[in-house]
Amino acid sequence: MDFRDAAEDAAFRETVRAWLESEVPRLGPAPDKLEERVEWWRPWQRRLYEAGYAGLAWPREYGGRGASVLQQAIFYEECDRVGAPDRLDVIGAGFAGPTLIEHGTAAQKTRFLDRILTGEDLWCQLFSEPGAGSDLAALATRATPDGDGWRIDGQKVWTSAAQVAEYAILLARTGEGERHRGISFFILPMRQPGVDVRPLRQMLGGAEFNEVFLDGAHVPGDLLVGQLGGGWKVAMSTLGYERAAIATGRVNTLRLLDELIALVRDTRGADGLLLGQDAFVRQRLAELYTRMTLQRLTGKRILSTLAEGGAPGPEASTAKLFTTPLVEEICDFALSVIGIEGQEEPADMDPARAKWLRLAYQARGTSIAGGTTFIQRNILAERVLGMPRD
Amino acid sequence: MRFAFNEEQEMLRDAIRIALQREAGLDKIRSWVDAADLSPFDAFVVRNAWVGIGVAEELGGQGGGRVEQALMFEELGRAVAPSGVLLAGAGGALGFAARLPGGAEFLREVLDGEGTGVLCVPAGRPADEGALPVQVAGGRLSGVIPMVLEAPGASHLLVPLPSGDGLDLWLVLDGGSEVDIKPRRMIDRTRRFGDVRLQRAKGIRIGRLDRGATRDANAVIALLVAAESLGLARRMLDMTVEYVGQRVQFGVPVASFQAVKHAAAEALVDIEAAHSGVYYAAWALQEGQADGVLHAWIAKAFATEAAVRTADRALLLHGAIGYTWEHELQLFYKRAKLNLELFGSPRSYRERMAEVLALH
Repeated sequence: MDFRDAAEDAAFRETVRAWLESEVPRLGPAPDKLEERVEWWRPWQRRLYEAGYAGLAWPREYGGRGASVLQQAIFYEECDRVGAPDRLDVIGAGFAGPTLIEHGTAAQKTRFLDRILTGEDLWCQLFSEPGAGSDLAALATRATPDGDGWRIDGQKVWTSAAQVAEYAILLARTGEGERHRGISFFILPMRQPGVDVRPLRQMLGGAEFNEVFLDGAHVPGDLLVGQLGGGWKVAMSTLGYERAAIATGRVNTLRLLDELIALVRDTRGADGLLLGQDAFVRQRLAELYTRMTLQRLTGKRILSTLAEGGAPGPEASTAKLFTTPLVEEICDFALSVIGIEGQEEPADMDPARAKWLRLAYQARGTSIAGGTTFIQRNILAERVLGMPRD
Repeated sequence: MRFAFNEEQEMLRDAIRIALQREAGLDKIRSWVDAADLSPFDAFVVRNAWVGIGVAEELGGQGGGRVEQALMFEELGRAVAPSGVLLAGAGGALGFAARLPGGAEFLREVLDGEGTGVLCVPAGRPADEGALPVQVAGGRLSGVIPMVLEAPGASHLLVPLPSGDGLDLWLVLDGGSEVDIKPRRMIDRTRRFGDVRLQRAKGIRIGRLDRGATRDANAVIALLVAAESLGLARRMLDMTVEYVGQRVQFGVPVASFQAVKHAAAEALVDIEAAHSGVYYAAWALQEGQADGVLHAWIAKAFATEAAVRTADRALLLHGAIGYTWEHELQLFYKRAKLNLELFGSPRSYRERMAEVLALH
């Protein structure tokens, strides 16, 4: 047991910190609109690529750095510290790329991997359907043989970043009757006539995700990943990468707590007293601080297991269930400090306040995405505690 | 960075678990409770020299540090063993005295198993607040210290008295009429408590700890209570999962109902978070990290509450059988509730955290 950085990790942290501190301040503010933000982000991603910080944990032969998961975590910690741009390539570099490294053909790797790292191609994930959410294996989108490839017909939903993606990882049914064994995993080029992306407005009004209608879309024969009918196994790898990413935390709760504390320090209650003197507020903040600390420590625990090449333990399965309500409650508490002004239309609000509102809603989305809270509890009970299926 | 235990730590944990299963099983604990005599367990602790786990070898201990002590207390919790002698002696009296050069020597008999030492403070408050109402005149101590953990039967009373921003440590040996210990009956019968009345009791001032040292010493006690609560919670969850897997209603094991699964899953979420907090705090205190004390408070506040939540989930999932005297759950349930208050409530530690966070 030792929580200090090993010598080479400490050296890596210093190098990264120095690099980020010289590079990040040169960036202008990020545009709000996703299409514009992608154009703003691409040169940044190119600089990361040239400096050897793209695909940190990818093997060297695929253009990565071959860094340990610990160094990857150190890199993102340092990015957070200096306020580096949010990653726009999470699906490509985080899920699709590693899946291709594991299951793709040599030609697929050559064609796609480098362009993910340079930021040239963004990816999206076409898994969920109107009738296949928690029960993903119920998906109905069909792939039928068509010339040298497949014709795809069906509808996908809740697809983030579909409007800016060049490619998608796609699950479609190629077999009859069988649930899991009838599914295949494809790479779908998004810019073609049979692909219709329609933005879905989420409850706060923004268009974060899309519906994707597939009507005779074409997948060339060389873009099947894994075996025909073996897509479920490939998809499980992808979802494993997704879970690991969620478990180790995409929201910086330490910074959220700092900001919440700053908000409390600046606020007076109706009685004119500083909120930070109020016993209830003090207890509640300390409680959130406690949970934030434990959430981060559990993240370290997961990384430490992964770094030693072990399979993630039960703590990895509990992490999402611990994290999502924490983020919701931190944001809700901030909004309660702001009061009714925190319920204004976010576009009309002071940006620092609007951030709490957006994140509070986004956290609700996170509790549904990647396996809802209730599904996660089932998984934990059945797979970790060994309780019977119902 | 490495979070996992090393091989020696795992061996120690296994050895402790096996020894407890063999010599302090639930049937034995129940018989000791029924006879209102926990001394067989005290003797078992002495035979195994467990007071010395986490005490440096040069001081006469078995070596190891806070991680080893925390592992021991997690196992003690898992076994719902009458761990008070270890908490009051190793964690409390020795934990305070050993911070003074030569301090552990005053408790040599405790280390050697020839006496039992307790930290003479009100057990409902953080121990670094000391024994407030005691007066000293001419080397003699007078006053009543209520609710002292394991006071009945103790031979060495270490009384920390507030002095400036630190604590003076006084050693009082029981034996004379100047020390009167009145037992208090608790609903958790696996722990002994008593009110200590000192009437011009002769004391030896063994030294003074400054505020930092007393906070460190208290943090270790808080950590050990947290580790024990973690063990209680793990065992209660294990018992519950086993029970609901066997209990059949509506023709199926009740474990197949989602409501039951979700309650068990939520307990596991609590437990794994508590584990992260307890062992980071143990490591940080051992290594003298600046954030060790804060993390011990975090561990205490969270793990003891997590154990209480687990206890109530376990009770509900056991149904009426869990509410009976006969069922073992009551032992764990009551210990979890007691640990919540022991050496400082979650509320008191959260207030300390709020102070550190400088909210105004």
